[in-house]
Amino acid sequence: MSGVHLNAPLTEADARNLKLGDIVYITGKVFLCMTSFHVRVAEQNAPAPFDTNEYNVMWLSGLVATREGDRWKALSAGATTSMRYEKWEPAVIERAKLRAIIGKGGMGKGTLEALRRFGCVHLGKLGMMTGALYGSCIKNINQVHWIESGMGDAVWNLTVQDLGPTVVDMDAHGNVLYDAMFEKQTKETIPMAYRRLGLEPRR
Amino acid sequence: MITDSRLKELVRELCLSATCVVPADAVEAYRRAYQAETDDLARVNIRSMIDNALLAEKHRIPICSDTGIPLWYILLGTKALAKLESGPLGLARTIEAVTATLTDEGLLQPLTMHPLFKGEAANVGPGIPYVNYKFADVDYLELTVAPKGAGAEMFGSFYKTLLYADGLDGVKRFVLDCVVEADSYGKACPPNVVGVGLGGAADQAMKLAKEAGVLRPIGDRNPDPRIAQLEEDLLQAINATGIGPAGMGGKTTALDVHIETAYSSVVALPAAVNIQCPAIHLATARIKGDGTVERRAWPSWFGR
Repeated sequence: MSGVHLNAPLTEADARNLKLGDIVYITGKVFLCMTSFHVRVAEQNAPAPFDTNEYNVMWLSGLVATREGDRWKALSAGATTSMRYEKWEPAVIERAKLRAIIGKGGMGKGTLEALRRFGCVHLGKLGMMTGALYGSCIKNINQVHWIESGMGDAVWNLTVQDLGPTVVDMDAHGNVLYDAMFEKQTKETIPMAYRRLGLEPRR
Repeated sequence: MITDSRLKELVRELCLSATCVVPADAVEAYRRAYQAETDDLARVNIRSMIDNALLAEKHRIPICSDTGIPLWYILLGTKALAKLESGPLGLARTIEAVTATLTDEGLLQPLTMHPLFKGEAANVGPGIPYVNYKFADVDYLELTVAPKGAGAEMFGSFYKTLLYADGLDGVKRFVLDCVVEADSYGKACPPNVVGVGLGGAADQAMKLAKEAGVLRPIGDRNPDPRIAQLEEDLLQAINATGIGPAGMGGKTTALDVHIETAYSSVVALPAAVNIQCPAIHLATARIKGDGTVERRAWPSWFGR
């Protein structure tokens, strides 16, 4: 597995040294969450239910896990559309002292500015529906919090091994991988696709 | 006799198979895409999809943590219906019960809730599982489960009432507009399957689009050569957009385009797009009146 291998928790330097397009694998402690974490931390000013120095990589995904007594066993985890959390993310990055967010697709200007200001990156999952691949990187479920509204929206403290591949799609310096790509597609390839069908491209 | 316990066993097996096994022809389509791609990021993306599919099948792990919103298509063979121990309603109840059990066991993610007032997530509730029925003059029931991934469903559903005057060009433009909107930034999980429904009333067009996207094998063409040509043309154009796997650039934005049609009002051309995610959650089987089961790679929902 070529690429950048990082141990979590990450340092600010880890985050700031990553470049747009780097392929990244994470080993160590990460937490997985969906909506509740964002609402509670950003809107209700609740403290994170774990030590934010210990867990500063946030993984946005649902989790399929089975339970035997007190032991949870992770099966499948992928990444959800990060943009769903745009309105809360700047506050979450600051309050939970995040250094990396693992998710899918790009995020907005508010998040981009918070990444730059606090020293954090967004890592896009590579490969759609990589639930089995990413899920098998989970070596242990250390703790689960806020499971009242169902396991789909709980907060999970995990230990992972070589979680990836992910790509730095928003770095800590204000750059977005999709922007250059989308501009090229909008200017060059997408108009070609319309012409191929005998249609005038839209302006 | 098709006993309740036989049915229960089959429904459970189909749900687990659809969750953990990518259809073989879809994995082949990933492999062809991998060969076609030259861009590094596109190749890593497709490689991950192949690795993931193999790992999921081998260890029976869900392909995606989004195990899909329960969606069923059931062909009711008129000669087999009378053999159902608890009748057609018993079949619906069995599907609900098994779905709830698998969710409790943690093998399915609870994925639906009230659209406005949320509450606790579940896989059984008003309208869910979403079960579609069709009668057929055969001696079996054909059960197909196709739990639908939310990324493709949420970002890849579009409807527009075009006019007859808009014609073929209007349809081409509509579909391409939808795909560009859905797939840029990887929202609808490209590379995916683009389902298109043309004609009918508005709800029929969307229903056809979903059936087209979900129930036809990769590489299948509509029997009407004019529609088959449109499928080919749209597939080529979509893959020329350069949006690529995960929206990160490349030659594979769609694995296929499938179109289904129905008659519509003489002045209107209802058009719908419904995108199927690349996990292609699908499992299908026929059960005969005597209880014997035959697993099938794809359903015969369209009777062809």
